[in-house]
Amino acid sequence: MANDSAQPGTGDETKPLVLIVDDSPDVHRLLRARLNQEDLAFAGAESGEAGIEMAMRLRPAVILLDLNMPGTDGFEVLKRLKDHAPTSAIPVLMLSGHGDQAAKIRAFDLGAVDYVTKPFDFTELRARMRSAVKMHQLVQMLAQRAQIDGLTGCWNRAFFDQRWAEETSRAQRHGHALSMAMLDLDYFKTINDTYGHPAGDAVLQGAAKILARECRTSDFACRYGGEEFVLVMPDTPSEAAAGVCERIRAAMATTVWPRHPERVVTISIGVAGSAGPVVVNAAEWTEAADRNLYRAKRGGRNRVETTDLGADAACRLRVAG
Amino acid sequence: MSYAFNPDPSGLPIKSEFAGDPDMGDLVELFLQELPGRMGAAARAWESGEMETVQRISHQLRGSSAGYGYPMLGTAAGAVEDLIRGSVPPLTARTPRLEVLFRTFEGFAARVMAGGVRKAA
Repeated sequence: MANDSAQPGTGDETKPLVLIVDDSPDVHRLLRARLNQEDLAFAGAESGEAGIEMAMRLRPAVILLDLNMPGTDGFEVLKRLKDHAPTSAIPVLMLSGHGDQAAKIRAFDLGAVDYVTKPFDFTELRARMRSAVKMHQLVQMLAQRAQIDGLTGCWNRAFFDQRWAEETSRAQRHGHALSMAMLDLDYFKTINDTYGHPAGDAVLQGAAKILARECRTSDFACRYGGEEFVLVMPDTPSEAAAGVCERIRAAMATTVWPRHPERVVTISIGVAGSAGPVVVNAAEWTEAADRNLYRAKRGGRNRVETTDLGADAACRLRVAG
Repeated sequence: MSYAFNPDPSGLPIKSEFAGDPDMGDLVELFLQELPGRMGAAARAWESGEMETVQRISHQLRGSSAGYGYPMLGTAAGAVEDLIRGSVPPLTARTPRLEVLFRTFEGFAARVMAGGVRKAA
């Protein structure tokens, strides 16, 4: 269900992206020509500083990094990449015209996964590249698994906490629309009590499938805890978010559950969103959605309650002048 | 600067080891088009005593020449780089030993240029 499409390390949707950082244009040309059968995408930087900037922006699957460059050399680039959390796990293969032991040891101590000397044996380099790409994919898979809820396949709470802070910050910085919804299954405890926990688990899994089906690819659904979910809808004002949530509510209410076809399961939803920048922080935004969820429960359940934070004078960002 | 790269290409012309490789023909041709300019820059730096530039150009050709099918040119470039970089402190002026290595490097470059891009009959 975790369907976030913006996975780092991919160049053009599917191909792993390789960033070449080398001051020699020849090396860029040769590597691209000799690795072109490996189904990789390439990006290139001809200085250490440009390489750091591109690595942070593009998050490549693998970095081929020249050791000897004027200005910021390969050691310095490697150190800065490893000190920066978003780039620290990217496998770096050092390229060098020198095979001296001290340089190799220093490179490995700084976090390089491999060290290749020029001139390249391209057959060997291809094999080393494949190994590094595979390592990247395994690291990505492990990292993703650590962020996925085992029962429902949704993103978990830890993922939500991190991404929600990023999304609110991004929306406020750029003035983008953003909405989030808190969703809670109505009377869920009675399903467990009446039909057993396997039936309760099946309802949670079914709700997660409905969320995945009804939300857009840019949205992400997370299991917030227990029978509670949260849906984040980037670039979506509150009115449109309410529409998405109404579809989810209706789908839940009309689903027939094989383990208890006689029992309808409904969901209550609280939405908080804005079409533009607001002054609330991530936690306050979540609280606003949670208050609406409470209103939905108190108002009879199986309903969607929405607040447009942008229309709330206390939340609206006031721009001087 | 009016200096032109024109060393004596003594010895046989050198063909790329990849001259028959269809994937590499265009790249080798581009390398050969750019080589006179690079060697001209190296020669100007040599004449004016800019050893850092000589070292940088020789470093680049050391790393790439074998990739274009000219391993001997890469070895000759590497010898120049090693003597400049490996000296303590690094060389900042010409020396007789470095001159021998630099002229050898130039000689290989001239033979590479004389060899052209297409496969010998």
